[in-house]
Formats: sequence, C-alpha cells, structure tokens
Amino acid sequence: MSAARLSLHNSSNGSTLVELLNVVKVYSTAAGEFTALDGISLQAGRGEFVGIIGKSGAGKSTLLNMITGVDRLTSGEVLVNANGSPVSIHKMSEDSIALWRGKTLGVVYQSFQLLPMLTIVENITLPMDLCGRFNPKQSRQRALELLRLVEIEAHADKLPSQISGGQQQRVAIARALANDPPILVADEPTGSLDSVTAEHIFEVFEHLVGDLGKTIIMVTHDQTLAPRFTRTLRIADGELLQPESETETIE
Amino acid sequence: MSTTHARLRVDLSQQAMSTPDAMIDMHGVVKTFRSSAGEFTALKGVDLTIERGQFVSIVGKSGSGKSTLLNMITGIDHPTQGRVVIGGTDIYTGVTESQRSRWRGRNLGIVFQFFQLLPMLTLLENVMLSMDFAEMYDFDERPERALEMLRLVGLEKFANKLPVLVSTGQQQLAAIARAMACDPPLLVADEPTGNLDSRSANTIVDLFEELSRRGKTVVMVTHDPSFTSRTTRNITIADGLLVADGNHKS
Amino acid sequence: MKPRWRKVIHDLLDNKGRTLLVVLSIAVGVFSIGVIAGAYQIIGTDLRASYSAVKPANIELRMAKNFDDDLLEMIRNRDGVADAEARRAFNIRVRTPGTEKWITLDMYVFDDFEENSINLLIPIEGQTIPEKREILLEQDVLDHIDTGVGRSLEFQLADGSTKIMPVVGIVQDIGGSAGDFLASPTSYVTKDTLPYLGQPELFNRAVVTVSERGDDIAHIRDMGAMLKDKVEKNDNLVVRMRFAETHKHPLADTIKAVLGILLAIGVLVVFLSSSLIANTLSALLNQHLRYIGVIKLVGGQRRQVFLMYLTLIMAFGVLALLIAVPLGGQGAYALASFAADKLHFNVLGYRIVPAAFIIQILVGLLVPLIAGLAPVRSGSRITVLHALSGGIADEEKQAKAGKERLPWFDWVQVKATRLLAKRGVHIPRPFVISLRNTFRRKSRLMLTLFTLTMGGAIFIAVFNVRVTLHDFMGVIENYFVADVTVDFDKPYRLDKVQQDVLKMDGVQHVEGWQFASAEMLDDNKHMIQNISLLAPPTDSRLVDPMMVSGRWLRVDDVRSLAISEGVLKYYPNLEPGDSLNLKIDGREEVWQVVGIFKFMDREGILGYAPFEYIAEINGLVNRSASYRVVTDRHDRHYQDAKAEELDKYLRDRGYQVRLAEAGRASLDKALESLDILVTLLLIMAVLTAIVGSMGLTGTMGMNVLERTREIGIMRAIGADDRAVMRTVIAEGVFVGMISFGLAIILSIPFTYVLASIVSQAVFQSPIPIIFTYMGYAIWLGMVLALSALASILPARNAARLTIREVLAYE
Repeated sequence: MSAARLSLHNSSNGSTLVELLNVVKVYSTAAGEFTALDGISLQAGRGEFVGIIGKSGAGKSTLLNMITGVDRLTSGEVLVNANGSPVSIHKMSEDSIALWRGKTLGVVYQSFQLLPMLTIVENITLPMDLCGRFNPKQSRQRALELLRLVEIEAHADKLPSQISGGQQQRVAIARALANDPPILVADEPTGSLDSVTAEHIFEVFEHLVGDLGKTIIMVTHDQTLAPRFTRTLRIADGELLQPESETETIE
Repeated sequence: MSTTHARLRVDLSQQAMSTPDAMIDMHGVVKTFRSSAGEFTALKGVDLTIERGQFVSIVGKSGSGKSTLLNMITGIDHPTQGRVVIGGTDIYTGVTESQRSRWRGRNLGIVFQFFQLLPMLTLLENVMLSMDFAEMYDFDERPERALEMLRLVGLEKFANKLPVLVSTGQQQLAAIARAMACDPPLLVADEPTGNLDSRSANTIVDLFEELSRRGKTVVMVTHDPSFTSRTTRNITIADGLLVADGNHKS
Repeated sequence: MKPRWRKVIHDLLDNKGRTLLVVLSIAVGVFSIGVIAGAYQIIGTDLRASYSAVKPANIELRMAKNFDDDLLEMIRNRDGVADAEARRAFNIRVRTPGTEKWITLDMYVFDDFEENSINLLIPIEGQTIPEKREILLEQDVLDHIDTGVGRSLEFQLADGSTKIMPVVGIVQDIGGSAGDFLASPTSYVTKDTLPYLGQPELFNRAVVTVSERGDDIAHIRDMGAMLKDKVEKNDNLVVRMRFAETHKHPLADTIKAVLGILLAIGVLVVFLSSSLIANTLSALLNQHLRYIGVIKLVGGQRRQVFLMYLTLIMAFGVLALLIAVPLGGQGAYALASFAADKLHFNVLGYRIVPAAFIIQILVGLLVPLIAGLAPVRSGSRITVLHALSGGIADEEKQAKAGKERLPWFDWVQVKATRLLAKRGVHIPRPFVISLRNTFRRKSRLMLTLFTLTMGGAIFIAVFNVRVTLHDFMGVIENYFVADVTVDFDKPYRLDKVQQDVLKMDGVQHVEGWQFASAEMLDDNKHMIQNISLLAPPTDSRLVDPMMVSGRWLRVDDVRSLAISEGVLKYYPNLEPGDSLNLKIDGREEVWQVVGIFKFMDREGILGYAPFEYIAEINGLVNRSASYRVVTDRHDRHYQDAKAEELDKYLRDRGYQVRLAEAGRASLDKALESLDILVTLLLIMAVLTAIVGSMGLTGTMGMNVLERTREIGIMRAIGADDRAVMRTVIAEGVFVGMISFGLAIILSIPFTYVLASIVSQAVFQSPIPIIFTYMGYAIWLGMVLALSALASILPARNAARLTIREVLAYE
C-alpha cells in the first residue's frame, strides 16, 4: 500500500493521546438505574492498537461512545491530547464535539453507516466539507487517494448499495481518515463480515497503525483477535478486568 | 413448562396417516443473489428431506446460508433453481407470493429472532390474528383457542397486555403460541433463542421438544451447541452446502 | 459541488413520490393564491379601465313622457353637466325569420351614432354605425338567438305586424348594461328607423356626464336631483334615476367582496397545505435521523445540518413555484376573463401581475419554510447517539421491552376492545390493527384530520350557502308568484282583460297591478332616494311576503305602505306605525309604514301600496297596463309556453301587448348569476378537498413506510395481498370517517360565516340560513372515495413488499 503521496501524518511519538479518568455511565430506565460503566480509567498512547474485548452487554460500546463524545458520561473525565494540549471533550458543547470529532477522531461502526444517497467518493469528501479542512478540489483528490489506500478506488463513483459489505467497510475506514485524524475508533468493524473479508479489513487497520502511526481503539467480542492488538483490555459488567495489563507488542 | 399440554388440541390424525411422505423435500435448491455488487450464491444445490415429526436443528456460521435455507422452506424467498415440496405441495411452481402467504398461514408456523409481535395488538389478539388471516376455526371459537395457546406457553396472565409490557422472552413465547394457533404440521424457527437469556431459551426448546413429541415437525436454526444435542437431527451448513447431517435419536 | 449540497439534491430526486407530494401541496396553495390575487388585480384595474374608457353616464334619467331636443339642450346646458345624450328605449320582440321562438330585446335609439360620446359602443364585428332600417346587436344577444352580421331579424310591433331588418354589426355596450344582472339583451337603431318600428321620433331617456367630480357619488346624486327638478319643471316626470361614478363600475364593490371571500379560502388552502408540508417534512426528518447522525458523527455541526435541510425545503418551494406561478397567472387571467364575460367588460390582455407574482413567491418560499422550521430545528438538534440508536446504543434499546405503563390512549383502546369483547362484540383483528394504527402517530393524525376536515367543512358549507341563496331567491320569488306577466302598451279595463284571459285554457287567475314611482323625503322635504311603488290588488294571492316586522297591507288601507328592508338604510330608526314623507305625482304626502319586509336591496328600494290609491294617482281607476296571470302548472317550461300562447291570444283579440313573459324568467337569470358565484366557491372548496386528500395520501404513505416490518410479520403469518391492502385502506377510510364527523360539526359555523359574507356582498342584507343534507351526502361519498383512493397507492406498495425485504435480516 502506498501512502507516500498521501498526507497522513505519522503521529507516533509514544505520548498519551487518550486518557479516561474514572469514567462512570449510568442509564436511567423505567426499570431503574443501570450502570453501564463503573469507573473506567485507561490510557492509549500514540501509535497503539488497543483492543477492548467483551461480551455483548459488557459496556464496550458505551465505553467507545464516551471516547467519541457521542454519549455523555455521568462522571469522570475523558482527555484527548491531539495537538499538544489535552482537551476534556465532555466539557464541550454538542456542536463543538462534532467539529472536534470530525478533525480528531475517525469512527468506524459494525454497520458501516455510509450515506446511501452519496457516491463512495462523496461519502469521503463529506467530512472534509463539513469541517472545512480541504477545498473541494483537494477533497476529491484526497478522497481518491484514501480510496487507493483501502484499495477500492475503482468503485469511487458507485453508490454504497452497489458494493459488498467488506468494500463498504473499507469506505467507512477511508471516511474515518478523511480529515487525517490521529485517532481511529472502531466498534466491531468486522462483526458483520465473513471471515476472509474480516481478515482483510483487520489488515487495513494493522497497516494504519504499523505504517502510518495512527492510534486505533477497537472493541470486539472476538477473543481470537487478542494477540494481534498492541494492547488488549477486557471488559465485563462495565469494569476493566485487567486494567493496563500489557500484552505482547507486535512490532 | 406448564402442565396444560393435555388441553392442546393437536390434530394428530393427519400426520399419522401420511407418515410415509416427507414433510419437507428439497431438490437441487440453488439461490443466487444478484446485485450491482455482483453475484453471490448463498445456496449451492441443497438436497434435503425432513420426515414428519422430526425435530431438526440447522447450524452454521453467519453467512453460511442457513437463513436463506430457512427462507426457502417458509416460502419467504424463492429459489433460483430447484424444487421445494412442503407437505406434498410444490410451493414455488405457479404460486404467487400472495398465495404463498395464505398457504403459509394455514400450513406453517414461523418464529423469528427479533420483532415478532405486532405492537398495536395484545398478545391474545396477536395469536388470534393468524387465525383471522388463515380463516381457520369459527370466528367465535378463536378467542378461546388463542387463550389456550397462551396457556400452553404459560402466558395466559398476560393475554390482554400489549407486547411492550412483557419481556423479550415472553414475546418469544407468545410468538410460538401464535405460530401454533392454526395447528400447522410444521414449525420453523430462526434463532428463536438468540436474543434470550439461558432460562427463557431452555423453556422454548422444551416447548419445541414437546411439540415434536406430539407429531409436529420442528425446524430450528441456531448457533447454540447446547441445544443441538436435544434435537433428533442436526444439519450443518457451510458456504451454501450441507456439510453434516447427524441423527441423535431416531 | 460540495458533498453536502450533493446530498440535498439526492434527497430531492431520490424519492420522487415524496418530492412530488410536497411540491404539489405547496403548489396548490401558491396556485390558488396566485389565481385570486392575480384576478383581483386584473379585474380591479381592467374593470375600471374598460368601464371608464366608454365614457359611462354618471346620471341616467328615465322619463315618464317623451321629450325632444329642446329638453336635452336644457339638460346639456346646465352648469356642471359635461355632456348629455338622449335615447329612446323600448322593448321589442324579435326572432330569426323562419323560427318559432320570439325573444324580447331592449331597443336603444341613439340620436346620432357618429356623435355618440356617452356609453360608447365597442365594435366587435361589422359596423358600429347603422344606417336607416339597420340594426346593431349587443354581443349578449347572440347567446339568446341564432343570428349574426349580414343576417336578418324579424321584429314584431305592438300592433302585431312584423318588420325585417338586417344586422350590420355586433357591439359591446359596457356602460349601458353595467350593474344590471337582470337586464334584457340590447340592440341599437337610428332615430330615423323609429317610424318603421311604429314608434314616435322622440326620446324617453337621457344619459348625462358631469363636468367635474365624476367620482364623487354624492355630487352626482345632487346633480341628478337638480336635473330631475328642472325636467319636472318642464312638464315631464322622471320615473327612475341611476347614478354611477366615472371610474367605478357599479358592481365593483360586489365583485371585490366576492373575490375577498375567494381570497380568504385561498389563504386557508395555503394554511392547509402548510400543515401538509409540516407533516411530510417531519416524516422526512424522521427517516433521515440516521443520516443526520452520520453527518454529525463525521464532524457536521447543528448549523450545517439545519442549513442542509432548510435548503431542501427551499428547493421544494422553488419547484412548486415553477409549476404554480405560470399556472396561477393563466388561472388568474382565465378567472378575470370569465368575470369579464359575465359582467360585460373587457380584459386588457394577458399579463403578469407583479403584486400577485410577489405574493406567490413569498407564499411559495415562506410557507414551507415556516411549516418546516420546527421539524428541521428538532431534527438538526438530534444527538448522534439518539440518531444511530440501534446501531450503537444496544444497552439502551434493551429497555424497550418490559415497560411498566402504557400511554393512556393505548390503554383506553385495549380496554375498550376488551369491554366490547366481554359483551360479545368481537372486532376482527385485522380491523383492530387498522383502528389502532390510526392513532399511533397522533400529531400526524391531527394535521391530516385538520386539512381533511377543513376541506370537508368548506365543501359542505358551500352547499349550504347554495341552498341558502336559492331559498332566499325562493323568498324573493314569493313576491312574483305569477306564472305569466303581461304588459300592454296602454291600459285596458280590468274586467275586460280578466274576462278574456280567463277564457284561455289553463288560466286560473288574473289580476291587474299598478306601478308608481315616488321620492322619499327627509324632514326638510329634500329627496333622499327614489322608491318604486308596487300596487297589487289588496287581496292579491300573488305576493307572499316575508315580513321582518309589522304587517302586510289590508283592504282598508289608504296611504299605507309596506317597505322593503333596504329603506331602513335611509331611515335607520323607522318602525311600523311611523310616518314617511313621500313625493308622489308631484305632491308631497304623508304615508304610514305598516310593515317592513325582506327583499334584495340591490334590486331596489320597494314599497307595496294599496291598488286603489295608486290607480287613482295614475288616473287608471279600474284599468291597468300590467297583469299577472296564474296558470294550472308552474314550471318554467310551461310558463314559457303559456306566455307565448297568451301573447298570441291577446294580440289576436286586438290588444297591444308589449311583453308576455314567464314569471320565473328574471328570477332564473338572477339564480344563474348566483350559481356562478357558488361555482367559484365550489372550485375553491374542491381545491381545499384536494389538499386534504393529498394530506391523507401522504400520511398513509408515511405510515406504510414506517410499518414495513409489521407488514412483513403479517405476511409471514398468512396475510395475502388483499388482507394487507384491506388493513391499510380501512385505516385510511377510518381517518376519512373521523374527519367527516368533525366536518359535520365545523360546517355549521363555516356555513354561517360564509353565508353572511356572501349575502352581504350580493344582497347587502342578512338572509336566513338553510342547511341541506346534499353537501353532507356528497362530501360523505367524496371523503369515502378520496380516503380509499388515498390509501390504495400506499396499500399496493405495502402489498408489493416481499417479506425478505421487509424483515431484513442482519
């Protein structure tokens, strides 16, 4: 994969990029209160590929929503240090989070979440447009390069419905990289793909971490992936089982 | 399980008389999906015969074609090639989708993994609805029979509740009651326990066992190995082909 | 193009049905506003322009006696008179040679066509200046008789002889026929043709223009009073005067009032279409929640989302304008032309009315903007979590099952069904689905019901207004019960006429009437207004008045008077028993008002007076020139035949018959013009009904779209195409029935409001309001048909869904 011409900053310098401090999330439902996250603290450094493994209902998606700022936490703090000074994202307004997220953090979901009415390349230029990072001409150029990176530039002008699930997930990854964020967050990105396709997608993530220095936080229920992360955390009932337990680093 | 099985009026005579012919008979069934993303063959020539009264589990990974196979049996989708004969009826040759719906209402009970019940109807009404559509039983007889079905699954207390007021497991049980309402010889279930805690799941498999013992044919797609041991036959599907077929107890 | 605008374009084009629905619903409102605002403007200016262009008379004086050039010269030379012309006006019977049917024309004789400078004739075809023994026809005549330029007409004179004259031209007479719905069609000949038609070469009418303050009606009335005075000092008698402003058509106020009503309904249509837009847009935003979530996820801010959807709304508006503005312009012109044709004026040609154009653009852009603002605002505020829930917020979704309490409305519905079931009433479940589905989207249901109900209520109200108007015309008819009216050129003895007429087959009753004109005076003996006095025999069976107060005339009454309600305009405090100063036959007298009755004010200030007294004033004791005949049947057809027969019968006996006409003739004409008004109202009502049913179609479409999974379940458990369609259509029809119930209630105030506005505009007096089952029955049929139709398309779409699509396994 050639990233030479593409401006993707190698952000790997080992310092702490994401830090969660005693994050608690409580949902109130008709049936009563439900604690989804019970005091989670963790750190992710630049260039790490962090895997969070847990069963469904363990709180892993909620944890991810805390990092992306999609959901509000009940207590605690999430600090993201993308450009020198840590930002406490839950102190920002909904709108500021959206803009911040667009520039700092790419999100990939199990169900792709592409806009069906836009072509592949438009889906990727959309975040650039919304965050005003690149002008329209640059945007298309950059989008095509990103598509090349995930190896589906041939489908650039197709609609999402015209390509397979694995291809859609590649587009979603390219979109997550649109504004060149240092962090990628993925929620079961291979969950709805067959094993061969899932392997391809995982390789793309590994390439992003290994060759481009991106930081990736991925949640999954797939135990077999554990050895392939640079660090694996296990979550159950809203708590981390082995907080900060270092596992073998691939590189 | 409730002890009211005896009150379930299951028509056994039909099954008893026609035991020699198979409940399900599939020959060379191929299913190819065409989309602009290309062709994808989900079933690559399936031959399958299931006798009356069998309790069959179908297992396979996601994407293996097991849901597609089930859709071929229920008439929800139609095969690209091949023949499917259910209870002696060729359900695809010269039959419109609308006619298949009608046939299904009278001959087949279906249980899905999610979203079973119509949210605007009470459990009792949901069960009666299938009788209304199939025009089975006298109009005045339907409430009584529906209540009986709910009693069978232990939900008679909730008969007049809307689905939102009961748990997911109870919704699933009500769906089984509904599937049995028209007393079909064949019950098809797609991951009926996939969404449930293990206790509720057990209740449902118990119920299937009981129905099978009473002569119903039950076909269940599942991924839970703890249930496959309880079926009379276990079929494994991978990449659109049947790869294993084992009888546990015949 | 930036991808976000790309998305807006796709949203516009990808769901063409929805776009069409929104665009059409905006367009209907814009169209109706455009038509009415445009017509209002066109009619206003063109009526004024084409009316004032013919130099209309400010004063028309109708004399009792013939006069010559000297009197005209006298009038012309008064101060303040710009010009004056003399006319001779009389009725004449005419037919196409070789045909049977006679019609009556008003014949106008001009002193000199070349010098004509008041109430100018506008050329339509052929000549505008006839020679001796040639005739010009007003274009209206062509509606009544088959003729044309170059053909001849046969005229019947009072003595029964016939004359033939060629038609040399067709003209339009805007000034002459203005303001009189009931006027006969007119024709024109030169003065030297008069002897040929057995008429003296003298005049009986003067038309006058004032030299200044031609738009000051008070000044014109003063001038008229002065001229009348002068004429009467010259030994003539003015029986009737008409006044008009130079630049204002006599019917301008009525027309504006009618257009005002139409405008009000047009505004309502816009209002209704805006609720339809609000409905569709909130459904659209609902469907787009996930997309909004994705946009926000990848960096989109609230303002950006807000602007994207606002742009989408504006695009809907622009598309609607593209359709509705040209159509509205055409519609405005068509409506103006229609009015012009009926009211005898000319439209100056097709044009774009800037004011209407601007109003349309404002309505087309602002209404959807306002209607869409709330859904777009709340849509753009949605959080990513909420928008994507299902995809990422699994834990929260679990909470959905196992709720403890139901919304009260659901509870009531379930309870009601159970109560019915306990009483042995079991509703089939597919129908239960339809009933409960109806109430699932309550705000959407409200908006749908609102539009459909409004449409229905207006529709029903228009029918009620129609019978109200017709019923009132029936009241008016009771003042003209006679089947045939016979006017002679000279008075005949009552007993002789009665004796002769009663001999004819089918005639049951004959009575002679007297007529007189009087002036109503104020306390200082100044004339306020003319009043026409009708004097039927006191025991007449042919007047069945609708009394407002007091009583009708009695046999022993002498200088007693029953007056029409309109008189109260001049004497607001007048009550039965009060006295009234009248100047009659040149003498000032004190009369007693015995009763006040209802009548159309427009058709004049009327009073009924005792026959004997008026006969004495007229010097016609035991004689009359005007008779009313009752026949054994009363339909219009029979009346026409009898009038014809009577005419011939009397002429054969040597009577000089001027006119024998069916009693209903003028009434039918008035009804015809009322029906034009009702038709216009009905068109507006149908427009509102269309908006209403479009609203229902949209709602049913959205409902089906949101319930595809439920439809899939229904199919899976045995529902065939028909069962699925029945469920959807039953829901639509049920909504229609609810709206019908509401429309019944709402139609009552609507009827009162609409009827009183219309009666004020047309009759200038309030009239009793009548309700008819007709509107209700027709609307019931329509709403059933519309709601069934509105749900058929969504129902078919629902039936077409295959279960695999619907249950979309993941």
